[in-house]
Amino acid sequence: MITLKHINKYYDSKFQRTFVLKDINLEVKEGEFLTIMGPSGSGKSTLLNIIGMLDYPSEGEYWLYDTDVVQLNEKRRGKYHRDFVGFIFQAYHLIEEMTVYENIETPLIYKGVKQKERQAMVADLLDRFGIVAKRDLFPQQLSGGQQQLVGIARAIVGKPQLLLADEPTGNLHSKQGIMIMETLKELHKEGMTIIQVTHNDKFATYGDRIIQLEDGMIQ
Amino acid sequence: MYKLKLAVRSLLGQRTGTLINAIGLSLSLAVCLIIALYVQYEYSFEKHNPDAKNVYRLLNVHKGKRDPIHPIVFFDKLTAAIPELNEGLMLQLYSTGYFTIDNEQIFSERVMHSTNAFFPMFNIRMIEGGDAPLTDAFSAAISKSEAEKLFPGTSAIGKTIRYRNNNDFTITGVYEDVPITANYRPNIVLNIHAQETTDYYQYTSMNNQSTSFFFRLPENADKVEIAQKIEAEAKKAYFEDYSGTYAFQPLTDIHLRSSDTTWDTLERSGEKVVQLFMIVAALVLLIALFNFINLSVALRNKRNFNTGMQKIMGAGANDIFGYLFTETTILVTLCVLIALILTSALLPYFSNLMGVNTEFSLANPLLWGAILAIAVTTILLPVLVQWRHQMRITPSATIKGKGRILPKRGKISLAQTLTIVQIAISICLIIGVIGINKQFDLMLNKKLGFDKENLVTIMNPPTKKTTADRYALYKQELEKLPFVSGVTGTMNTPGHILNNGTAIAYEDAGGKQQLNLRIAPTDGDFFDVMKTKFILGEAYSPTDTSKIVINEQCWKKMNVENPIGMKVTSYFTGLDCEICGVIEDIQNISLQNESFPAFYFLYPELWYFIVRLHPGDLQKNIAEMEAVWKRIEPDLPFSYSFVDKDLQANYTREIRTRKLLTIMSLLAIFISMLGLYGLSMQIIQHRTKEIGIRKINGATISEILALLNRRFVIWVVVAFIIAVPLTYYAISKWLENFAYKTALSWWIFALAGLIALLVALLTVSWQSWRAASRNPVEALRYE
Repeated sequence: MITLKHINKYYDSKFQRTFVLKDINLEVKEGEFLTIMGPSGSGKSTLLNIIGMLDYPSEGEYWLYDTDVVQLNEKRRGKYHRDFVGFIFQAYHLIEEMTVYENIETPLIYKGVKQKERQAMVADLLDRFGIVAKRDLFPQQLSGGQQQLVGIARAIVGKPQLLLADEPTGNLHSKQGIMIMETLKELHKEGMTIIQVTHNDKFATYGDRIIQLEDGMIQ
Repeated sequence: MYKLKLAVRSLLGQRTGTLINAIGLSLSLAVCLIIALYVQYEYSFEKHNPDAKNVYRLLNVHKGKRDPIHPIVFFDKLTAAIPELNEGLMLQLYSTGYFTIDNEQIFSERVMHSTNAFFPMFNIRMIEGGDAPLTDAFSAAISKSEAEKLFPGTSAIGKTIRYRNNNDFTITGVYEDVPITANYRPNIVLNIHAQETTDYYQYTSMNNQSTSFFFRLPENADKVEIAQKIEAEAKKAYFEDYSGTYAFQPLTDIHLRSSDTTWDTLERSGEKVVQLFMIVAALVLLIALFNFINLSVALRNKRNFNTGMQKIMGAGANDIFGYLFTETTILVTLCVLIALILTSALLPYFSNLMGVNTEFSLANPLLWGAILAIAVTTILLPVLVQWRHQMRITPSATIKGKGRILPKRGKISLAQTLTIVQIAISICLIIGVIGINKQFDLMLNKKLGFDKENLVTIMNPPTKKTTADRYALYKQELEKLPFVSGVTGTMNTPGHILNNGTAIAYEDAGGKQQLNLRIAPTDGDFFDVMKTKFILGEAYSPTDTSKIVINEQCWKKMNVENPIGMKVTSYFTGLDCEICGVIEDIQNISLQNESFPAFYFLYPELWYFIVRLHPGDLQKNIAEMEAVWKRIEPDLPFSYSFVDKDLQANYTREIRTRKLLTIMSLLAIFISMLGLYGLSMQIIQHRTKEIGIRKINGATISEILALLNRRFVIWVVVAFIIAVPLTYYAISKWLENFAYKTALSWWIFALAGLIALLVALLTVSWQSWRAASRNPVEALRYE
């Protein structure tokens, strides 16, 4: 599904070039649950952002099925975000001005889903994650675990094929963390491709495959 | 709906920014609307008169000065000789008339002398008395409201009014009230031909210029050719070498484009002043607009995050535009509403301040035009700036919250540029206000040549009974009053034009010389009471008619080293006299101009008392002086005025300009400082972590303050450097209008810069102080 070939990401300053990612070659198959591990600053998040098209590689090829993603324009990239990929972040990144319901609903609006359908889809997810009672609250009124559940709900409401999770448990205590990981595991069972970045050895084992990143290179 | 809801929440979420934007924009919008209404008013003069474009005022151009007045006798000579001038009228501008009606004394403002042609030419409809009411020499027409005031409940037609206790006029016509936007709005029009009896000299002499001429010219008339014909007539009527020329001034130009005419007592405005206000209003709006752009850029960390997330969730460029547009439109609409309320509430005060008559009406298309134009700009500009910015950044940068508010050192951002421009505009306005105030202070206080405090003039009307006797008697009585410090007399009220001219002959090293100058007949103690300074010599004694005092201008013109003791012959009295003193110029023409050369001499028949009072209860003192007057002259009105108020009234336009400019500058500064406050808040929040780390590493509060404020100080300095040459040029240009110019001292600029710096520092220091004095642990907790 995803093929990265010789991906480099670097920043140039006056006299030197600092590499964040160096010659990354990676293939992710459909239905896989991949875990990326590595110490701070090893380039995990950058790699995830590049896969999610939130950032651009400096060099290299990125194939999504048979599309050359690097060449995509802004519009196509928006479509890719809408239809193909969902994101979960360490800091949840919910929009403060929106209620739980609206946060989850927003991707559907961009997808052009009709209101009736949207209501049903969001209600399903609220029900599934047991947060029906919270639907009209704002993010800051929720606990961290609950916020992350909303984050996951928002990421998967559009039925993406790929779910990218950037340290989804990083801000949570262990009990909440386990709950989140169980939820991801369940989604994986349903056939979703998931790539997660984590520090936590225990949570890393939820995936099928682990790659270790160190100084921007796969070990 | 969805976007609307989010926009409202987002506005409420950034309360400080929203508030700053709303206050600034509402205020500046209100200013713009008020100024727009003001400009509309100023340009609406004579618009009610469909024929105004064909009506012209005749101007006499003489030695570079344009005068609108001519001798009465000249009118008939012109109309007889030049057929194009067959439709014309004479008009003597307002005076305060005092009338006796049924033995009751009544003062009426705006009494005018004219002819029947006045009514049709100025589009004034007659209500009673037919189209030609002023047929008899002693007939008068009266406005509807004045008629209702003087003759309540009855028709005014046929009533007799005694003018200045001398002549009876019969009211033969009533006309509808003249619109406020007419140049000539008399309450009473007396037939000018009555002056054949009442003022024979004025009526018949070519040497008495008192009257404006208006002509209706055919649309295709060659005005230059007619003017040349008039010049030919002038040479016949005056003398062969008469060098004055003539010009036609359109009636529609009088209100705004005749601030240069001399001898013109009509209340006018100046196009330049109107334009100045338009510019300042635009600047105020610009400042608010910059706030708008700046704050939305400064608040962008939060917004960037939201936009970033929206993009991740699949929002396209037009969705992002939609959010920004909705949010800004809501805010601007709100501001428009507040501005409308402010405008309607403040307009009466403004009208009062400016002495104009602007009206607030939602049916005024100009109002909506202005609102639409301003709203579209204030919505689109900030939205486009933000949108461009939002679309440029990658989502990964925004969700990490890494956006910088200001660029790295050495680079210039939009926010920085806009803020510097704002501060520069503010400094320009401060310098302008200080400069203008300094010039007015020079004119109204320093260059007068006398002390205007506690000085009252009382009219000594020239009547059949000799003025000289009355003068002596009343002076004697006044001097007995305990609150009077001195009494003297003159022919012209101090600070006003000396309007009688003559020439003197004298002899110097180069032989016989002659000098044209103005004459100032005075009482002996004139210089004492006026507190005028002598440059050379001393005053004449109260009995010595052989001595004269000259002013500094006269001394300069004579170009002799020491004029004291010089013999001169005055053409006015025909007598030889001797110069005994030189005084500093007493302002004797409008303050924009250099004083005329003039000489002062003793003369018994004086038309004004000048009374210097001890400070005290003015109303009571005036009443006592009036009681004394009534005892001496029960039949003549007691007419007095305060010299300082009188002088101010002469310069109302300048004083109003100064007031309004000061208010608008303060507003501009306030709005730009609001913006600076908002920006500093954002910048400092952004640096909270940095400040925490510095403090942990031992920085003191004052060091942190210096660090945070340094940037703002640099901005003010840059703005100052921009503002100084601009204002130096502008004010120098403006000062060219005045004969006595204030010095553009360095301290004006320094003071303005200092004020800007202080206000800016005060504004930002509140935030800086809070940040600097905060516990660093708190700042770093969320890392």
